[in-house]
Amino acid sequence: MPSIWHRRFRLLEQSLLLCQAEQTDLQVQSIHRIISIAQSLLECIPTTKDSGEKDVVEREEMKVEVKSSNTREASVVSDHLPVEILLCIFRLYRDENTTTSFTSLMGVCRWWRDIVLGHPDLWSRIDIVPTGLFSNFQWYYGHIELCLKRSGNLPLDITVDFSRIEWIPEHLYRVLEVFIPPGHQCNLNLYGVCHDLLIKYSGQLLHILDLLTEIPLSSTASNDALSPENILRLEAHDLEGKVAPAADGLIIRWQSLQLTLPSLPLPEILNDISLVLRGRMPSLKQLKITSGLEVYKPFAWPQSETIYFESLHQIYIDSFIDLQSLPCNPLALRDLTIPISSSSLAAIRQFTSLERLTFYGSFYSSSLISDLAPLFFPRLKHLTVETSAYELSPATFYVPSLQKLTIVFNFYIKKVKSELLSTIKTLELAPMAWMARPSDAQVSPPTRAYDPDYIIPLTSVLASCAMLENLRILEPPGDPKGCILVKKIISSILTGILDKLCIVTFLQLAPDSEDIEDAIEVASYNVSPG
Amino acid sequence: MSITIVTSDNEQFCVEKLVAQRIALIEDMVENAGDRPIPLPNVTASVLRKILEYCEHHKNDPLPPYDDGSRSRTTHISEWDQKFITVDQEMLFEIILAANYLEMKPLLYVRLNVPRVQCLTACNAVAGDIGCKTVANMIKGKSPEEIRKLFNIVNNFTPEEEAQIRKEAEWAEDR
Repeated sequence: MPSIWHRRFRLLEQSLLLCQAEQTDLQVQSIHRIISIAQSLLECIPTTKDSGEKDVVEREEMKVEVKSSNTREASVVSDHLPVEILLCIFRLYRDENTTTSFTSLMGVCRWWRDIVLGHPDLWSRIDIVPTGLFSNFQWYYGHIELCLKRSGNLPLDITVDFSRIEWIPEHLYRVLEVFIPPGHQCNLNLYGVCHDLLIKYSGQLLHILDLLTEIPLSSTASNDALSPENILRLEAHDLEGKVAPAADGLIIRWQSLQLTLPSLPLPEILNDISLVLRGRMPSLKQLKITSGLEVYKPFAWPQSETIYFESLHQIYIDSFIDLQSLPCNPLALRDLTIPISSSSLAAIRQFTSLERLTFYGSFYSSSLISDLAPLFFPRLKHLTVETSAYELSPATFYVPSLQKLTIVFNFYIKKVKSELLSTIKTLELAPMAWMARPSDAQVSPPTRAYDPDYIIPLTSVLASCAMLENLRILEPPGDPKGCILVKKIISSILTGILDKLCIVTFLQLAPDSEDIEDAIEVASYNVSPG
Repeated sequence: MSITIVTSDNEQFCVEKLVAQRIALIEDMVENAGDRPIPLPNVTASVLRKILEYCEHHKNDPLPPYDDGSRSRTTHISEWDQKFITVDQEMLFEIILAANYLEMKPLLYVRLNVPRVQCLTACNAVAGDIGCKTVANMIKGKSPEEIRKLFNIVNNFTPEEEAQIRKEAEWAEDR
């Protein structure tokens, strides 16, 4: 049964039960009758699955769910667990044991066997050289054939353990060339890599690179085993020059490149990297280069006669590179993240097609920014600024298409230029001091009372957002100042300052990211007057 | 603020709203219920007590990321959760079934940038994760017969099917 119907039925059941207390006996009988009819109807609803067996399975599941749990015993329960629960258990079991042990599950009872055989996704994971399978390759390849057959047309999740790189090429070759039909979609999950291992087994690496270029372009690869960064570093250290030709087929397909460079000796490394990249990445769309090095005067990208990042439309760059020297097409660039400085402000003038711009502060942001000429971005839709950095820029922005403004501020918003606020429909507020996690002892949230002087500029910012429809606030977990902010916003709404505001959304930082872009929506309120 | 929940065996629980809201089904019901008690006809008092113990412990946790099932997961369980789920087998399955009924995803796997309502819809079929992890750990490395014995499952294969399964098992064990 589709889970949406489960959910609706449960809500119906609960709502009817809630009504019971205030009804007559006749009405209660009617309610029970409605529940009974609903159950019968649900059994008749066509499912999205195609197997007749699954309908039986799901009816069983429903029967178990609506039955009172008072008298359940382990035998009954484990024998009739709903299919989604058993699938969840089987997937967890598979992910720890590889698909190889399904034989045990299929031998338990017919119910379990039907589930394992009836769900192709359980069979769509293939481990290249899984631990413990070295003793019988005939069995191993038989198992892979079985997985391919039983997973149907589903994309295959291929997990490659690089800690056994000496075994990989042979098996990868057989799996990719012999078993998997040409053009079959694959998701590669590569793990267990270390730089020394790749150097030691460079011959195997070359073979692997060759094989991976055969995988369809739309397939994905995750983890860092064969990340651009790793390959480029290998190429830089490859004295025999064999890695580069083997990697060509792979590199030409990269659409995203993320490089974290060591701080020193940076100019030499930049030179190496530019030589490696030149002319080899026509498809590159996203480039992120960081070094952690803060410099007063950024290094120029090695000179080139041609633009070789022709398709680049997203750049995230550290303060150490002079943006103006990057050999990209300025009119193709749509999304830029840079530290604010005299040099970056001068460079971004040429990027008039930008749709998204993020300024962040760096150590040298505090140096005098003398460029006062106005900045014009006719297509800019989303601007993100750290106010500490932004306030240093005296330049005027002309951004007629701006829809969304994200302000990252520390304790208070000193000033935000009104020309940025008048057109925006979405305002995102991210108080930096509140972004510290409670577990982070180094940057614990401040506990002193919130100074009213800090609130007034915020009210003034809100008052300037005449077109504001969506307000998104990064919620300070357990911080009372959050309540002050919320009260201020509510009073602004009540006094009619934000009369177009429709939605107020509260966000929390995601567990694995400190980026507001990744924040989780925890609550959303419709505050429109209607 | 607190709300009242009534179990299938008619026991009433007065629960802090913040704690109860970890239970998706109850969160959905709170607005409609007003001040009336919320009935849970499929959950007994002993099971709800355990569920609320879990909710109380995890009430300040951020919602975990959404798991669409495509990523590989591990069967690792945190120390507190491990202690919490150390119960007899009957209670273990009761917790799993109740978590499924109450739409608790340990509890909720909510992916970044996906509005909560969408996440609840996307995940509403997934059962209590630590319960499932515990069962997955229990069956790890066991033969069909051992699994049947462990969970008291009836072998309902025909003799022909048994023979076929034996053949498959021999092939698998041959590695």
